[in-house]
Order: sequence, then structure tokens, then C-alpha cells
Amino acid sequence: MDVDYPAEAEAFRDRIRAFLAEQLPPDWPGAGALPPDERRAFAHQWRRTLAASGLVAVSWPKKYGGAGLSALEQLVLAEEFARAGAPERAENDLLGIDLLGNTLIELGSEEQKKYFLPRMLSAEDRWCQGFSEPEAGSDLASVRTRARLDGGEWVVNGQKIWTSAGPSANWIFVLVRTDSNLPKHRGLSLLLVPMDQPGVEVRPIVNAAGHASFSEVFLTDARTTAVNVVGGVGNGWSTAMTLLGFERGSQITTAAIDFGRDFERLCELARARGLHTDPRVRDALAWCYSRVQILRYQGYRGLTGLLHGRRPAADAAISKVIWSEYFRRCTDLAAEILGLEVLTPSGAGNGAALIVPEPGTPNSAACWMDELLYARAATIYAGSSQIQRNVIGEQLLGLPKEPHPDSGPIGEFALRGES
Amino acid sequence: MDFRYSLEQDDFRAVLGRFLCEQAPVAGVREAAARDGHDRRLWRRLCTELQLPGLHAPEEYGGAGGTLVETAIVFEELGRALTPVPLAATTFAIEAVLRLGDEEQRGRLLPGLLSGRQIGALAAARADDTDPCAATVRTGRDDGRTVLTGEYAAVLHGHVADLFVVPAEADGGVTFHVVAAGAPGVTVVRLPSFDATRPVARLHLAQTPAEALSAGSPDDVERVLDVARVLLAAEMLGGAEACLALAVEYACSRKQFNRPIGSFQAVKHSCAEMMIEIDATRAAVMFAAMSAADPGELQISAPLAKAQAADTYVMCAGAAIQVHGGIAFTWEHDLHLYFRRAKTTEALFGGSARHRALLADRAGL
Repeated sequence: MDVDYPAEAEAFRDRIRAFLAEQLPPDWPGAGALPPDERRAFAHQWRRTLAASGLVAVSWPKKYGGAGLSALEQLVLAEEFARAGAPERAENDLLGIDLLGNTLIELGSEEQKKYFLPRMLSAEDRWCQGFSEPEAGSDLASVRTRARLDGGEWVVNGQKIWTSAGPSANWIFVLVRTDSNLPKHRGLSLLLVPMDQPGVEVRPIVNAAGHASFSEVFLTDARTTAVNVVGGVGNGWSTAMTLLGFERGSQITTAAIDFGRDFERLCELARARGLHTDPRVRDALAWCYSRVQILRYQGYRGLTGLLHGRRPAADAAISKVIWSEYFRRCTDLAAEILGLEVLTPSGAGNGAALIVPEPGTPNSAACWMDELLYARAATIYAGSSQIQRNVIGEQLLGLPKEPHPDSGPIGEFALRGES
Repeated sequence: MDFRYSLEQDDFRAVLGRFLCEQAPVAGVREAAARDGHDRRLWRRLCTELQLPGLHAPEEYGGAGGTLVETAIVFEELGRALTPVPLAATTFAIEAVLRLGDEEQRGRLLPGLLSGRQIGALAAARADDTDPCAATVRTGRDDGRTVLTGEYAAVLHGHVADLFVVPAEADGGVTFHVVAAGAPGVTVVRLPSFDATRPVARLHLAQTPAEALSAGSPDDVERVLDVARVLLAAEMLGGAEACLALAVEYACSRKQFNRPIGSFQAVKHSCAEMMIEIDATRAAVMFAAMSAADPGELQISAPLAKAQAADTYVMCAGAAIQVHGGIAFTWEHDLHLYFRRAKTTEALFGGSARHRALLADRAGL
């Protein structure tokens, strides 16, 4: 069974396939087959090709530089790119185009849309995110970074952490406290801050796999004009929730494609070592295969919802747990198959891919051991498995919340932390 | 195709759910279970008023001409309510006659089963029922007629069946045969059953006259079993949801340490885990039922859904007992009824590991 896409979406699919056939080299194995330097060069060039072809944000309105198509066409594009092994965008685009861009379209002022959106498309502005702080992880609403108005400008002080793609960014959207006399979910605002100024310092953090994949961002009297607030002063929490709601939009059907590709590599690995007939390994492989199929079925359901105008809501928490915990389990299985090779994994790594490696990446022990490490992060970032289970319990099942000892004004708590 | 239930299907589910809620409350389930696990009055109404046995059978034989999606909804709702009627037994027998019988047999055997005038029972529930080496019933000839001899140990609702469909070793293969309950040499003994809402019987055959259902291919035989797997998965989905609903209701009302226990993350996360696996199971069951007409999809989705649903049901029944604490380990509490149904249904056609092994073979892993 296939879910039927509307004829317009299928016509768009043909267009994308033609584009990929024309623009990708013949017999393209995927960027993962390239050495790191060439891979970076390709990604850079490819991003320019996408911008020149108007394919960076097809679901945006035409007047802001988009193609005026729907979220469905965006999804079709993501599917075809995933199948062809072509990067859909640069790393800063996930934060700029997907998260902030879509949020601006929904909540931004007309001036903000006209100014920022085209500059995102051209990659003149490259965005990163300043949400988490050393003392505000799962409890995001307790952020302490503060902003006060000074004349016509916000002055921002504080520290952000786990910022992806920080060194390549020149703008950051930051969740800051603009009023400390209110309970913690109020008194927050989402500010847009240029990074090319002395008050913004980016310090890369080396992750557990040895890659510099995220950064700390220090804001010391950093300045941005007063109008650079999204969704209104004091509405930062709901703006942030809107923004995070865009996080998994285009992954509705591509999760199954990407994990399906990774699962094929896992089967190859098992076969190459003659372990695919081992009953325990075979049982685990069949379990993994089932999960990938279930991701596919759930994708059909999400797609059907999208076709009827429903955006994923709290049920996104279920998808997050399913794919991230699957990722852990399938990489654990890879390690089991590798046996003693885990002691000295050889070959190329995962190219610092956050989830599954790009198509064409060699099926090496080193790559699987990178994935094994990155899978540990997957159940932590973007809302840990525990936070997701709270969301499922409270928002989907209606279970009572825990009593909150910190429901009063944030001021005293923030001060206590700073002493 | 839309990957969602249609409005008509949602309405049908609501009507059936209301009917069961009013006409088949758990007190009635317990009464029937204490007798022989068959609520005859309710079964008659389900057959005559709602036509449940024949929903996805073609109209030419007396069915309603629906799809497996509607039948899966029925299994889900009856699984949710633990309704003690021979629906699974009869539906599987119908499926066997439909897929494996010739035109004459279908025309003769199906109307009685589809209308509910007759109760059918498929005497196949093991993982290796299509393996001739494992057969416990063998064919023979007596006076030019086919006869069956042997025993099948666990037949769902076998003690109330009018007609059995029995896999029997014949010429080095396995062929499904139809046996009338009243035929010579048939002995049926109701067995003490772990799940009294769906009791089992031992079927003993001694030179019993039987007719072969030999119009189908080996693929058709697998298809019969696959449809049974999908429907059991749907039933287990309904049961798992019932367990989650009981757990959530209790977690919201039961207070300890001056708080509803559902506000504790240990309890909340246990309920969330049930929801996550139920969601995965629903996707698997919906897909399996909606794509059942495609043999390539069905042979994958059926064992997949059966294993996923069984793992989920057993987990949910167990977790719901844990959320309730001691009260759930009492005879009066309903959760042990679900736990019993979960463990016994998990075992049908082989446990989850067997189903994953089948899946691995079929998917060419």
C-alpha cells in the first residue's frame, strides 16, 4: 500500500527527480563516499545550486523568496533528496530555514519577514540557536541570560550552550529573560542577535566522538536593535514552543528512508561477518526491521494528517522516543556484530552526521562506533526521553503534573544561582 | 489511499463499542467465563444484529462485503471488552473455507458460519501447523472416503464448535480439512483454560470422515494464517489500550504521599511507555489491515504486527498491574483477565520470537 499523494505533489516529485538527475554526477553514491575536504566543498557548491534553483524553502510564500508550495511539496523534496543521497540543506539551514524561518512566517512582523527570509535563502545570514544554558537543560524555561532595553537596543548578557553550527553562523536567535519579576515561563523573549560583534564569543565544544559539533556562546553586553524580538516581548516561551514545533516537520516520511538505508548497512555488516543466521542476531535484526517499517507506517499516518491540514503536535513526542531509542538499539546491535572489532574500529567515520550517516559512507567499524556514540546523544537532545515521556503522560494521557516548587517569580531563583 | 480510518469506520467502532459497553459489561464476561466461556445470547445478537462473523466476506456467500479493516475493528473492540464469544475461532474457520475451499464448498459451508447459525473452529494455533513432520492429525482412507485420525491439543472455543477446520498430514504435505462436530469418531473435551474468557478444547479424531479444502495453494494457506495473525494483533491492540486506560484512571485517582500516583514520574513514564508501544502497534495493525489485499505486504505486515502487538499487550498488562499494586493481584480485579488473554494470545501461532524469525525469512534478511 502507498498513501496517495495529490497529483500536484507527484508532478513536483517528477520535477525534483529531473533536477537531481541533472545536477548530481552520474552514478552518484552520496556525499558520504567523498573524502572530508571534498565533501565540504561539495556541500558548499550544492547549497548554491539549491539557492539558484529556488529549492531551499519551497513551502515559503513567493513574496519572501519561496516557491509558494505546501508543506507536502517540502516533504516530497525531502523524500527525493533522501533517496538520491543529496543533502537537502546546509547545517545552519536546519536552524534558519526550518526553525526560525517558519516561525517568522507564522509570528514575525512584515518587516522581519521581508528583511530576514531572503537573506536566509541566499545564506547571507546563517543562523544558530541559543536556547540551552549550563543551568537550563530540560528545564528550558529557567534560562538566566538577560536582556534589557538601553535606548533603542537590547543589551544581552549570559551564556548559551549546545549550539549547533555556531562557528559558521553569523546570527543567533536567543531565548532571554526580559522580566525577572514574573514566573519563569513568562518574562521570556526570543531575540535575534547579530554575532559579528565583540560581545558575542563562540567556543566550540568537542563531543564524545571527538568532533567539534556544537559550541558555547558567550554574550557580554551583546547588542541588537529593539525591533529584533519575535512574537512580542514577554511571549518568548510560546514563540520558542512554536519554533520547536517545526523541528520534526519534514522528517515525517524521511525518518523511515534514512533509518531504512542504515538498516541495510547493518544487514550487510551482519552478512559480511556470517552472523545474519545467528538466531540472536537474526531476532534483533528482525526487531530492527520491524521498527523501521513502523516508522514508515507512522510516516504514512503523519502524511495523511498533513494532507488534511493537521500539523504534528504532542504526538511528536512519541516519534522522538521511537526513533531515538531505535537508533540506540540498532547501533548496539552493530557493536554486538562487530565483536572484538569494537576495540580497534577501523575505516572512515560517520562524517560527524548527527543521526544516520550520509549515503555512500563506507560500512566501516569506525562509522558504526561513531553512530553508537551519537545514538547516546539522540535520547538527550531535542527533549530527552524522560521529558518526552512527561509530555506523553501529561499532554496525551492527562496524568497530573508534578507539584512545582518553582512556580513563583523567577527573580529569587535566578539570583540564588548567581551567588 | 488515506492512512486513517474512514468516518464510517469510526462510526461503526463507536456503535460497536457502545453496544459492548451496554450489553457485555465485565460482570457478564465473568459470568460467561465461569460457565464455559461462551455468552450464547450475546453471540446471537452480535451475529444477527451486527453481522460480525461475515463483515469482510463477499456478499455472494452471505457476508457483508466489507474489508479486513472493519473486521480488525471488531477484533479490537471485542479484545478491549474481553467479550467471551467464539469470534476468533469462527472467523479463522471462515477465512480457511473462503481461501482454500472450492466454489461448491464455499457456497455450502459459508452461509451457516457467516450468519452465526454455526460456530466454526480452526484447529491450528501452533507455529508449525503447516509442517507435515509436526502434524498430529493424519489422513487415511476408509471405504473410499477420507478420514482423519489424531488429536489437536488446543482448539479455541472448540467445545462449542459445530464445524472444525483441521490441518492434517496428507501425501507428505499438510491439507486443511473440514470436520463436522457431530461426525463419527469426534471427541471434544473442554480443557481447564488459563484464559477462561476464551477457553480451549482438545479435539480427538478417530477415523472421522472429513473433506479436504484443496482449492488453495500453499500461499493461500499462509494467507489464512496471516489474516489470523493480523486479527489477533488487532484484538491485542484493543486489550492493550484497555490496560492503559485502567492504569491511567487509577493513576489519576489513587493518592499516596498526598499526591495522585500518576504525578510521580516512575508511574507516569510507565504509562507513557504503554502509549508509545500502543501507538506503534496501532500503526502496524492499521497498515496490515489496510494493505491485506496485497499479498506481498501482508506476508510482511502480518508476522510483524503479531509480534509487535503481543509484546505490547504483555508489557501493558504487566505494567498496568504494577501501577495498580496489590489490588491488581486479586481475583475481583479485572487486570488478571487481560494478563491471561495477553499471555495466551501471545502464544498463538508461535510467540514473538517465532514471528520475528518468520519475518526475517520472508523479508530476506
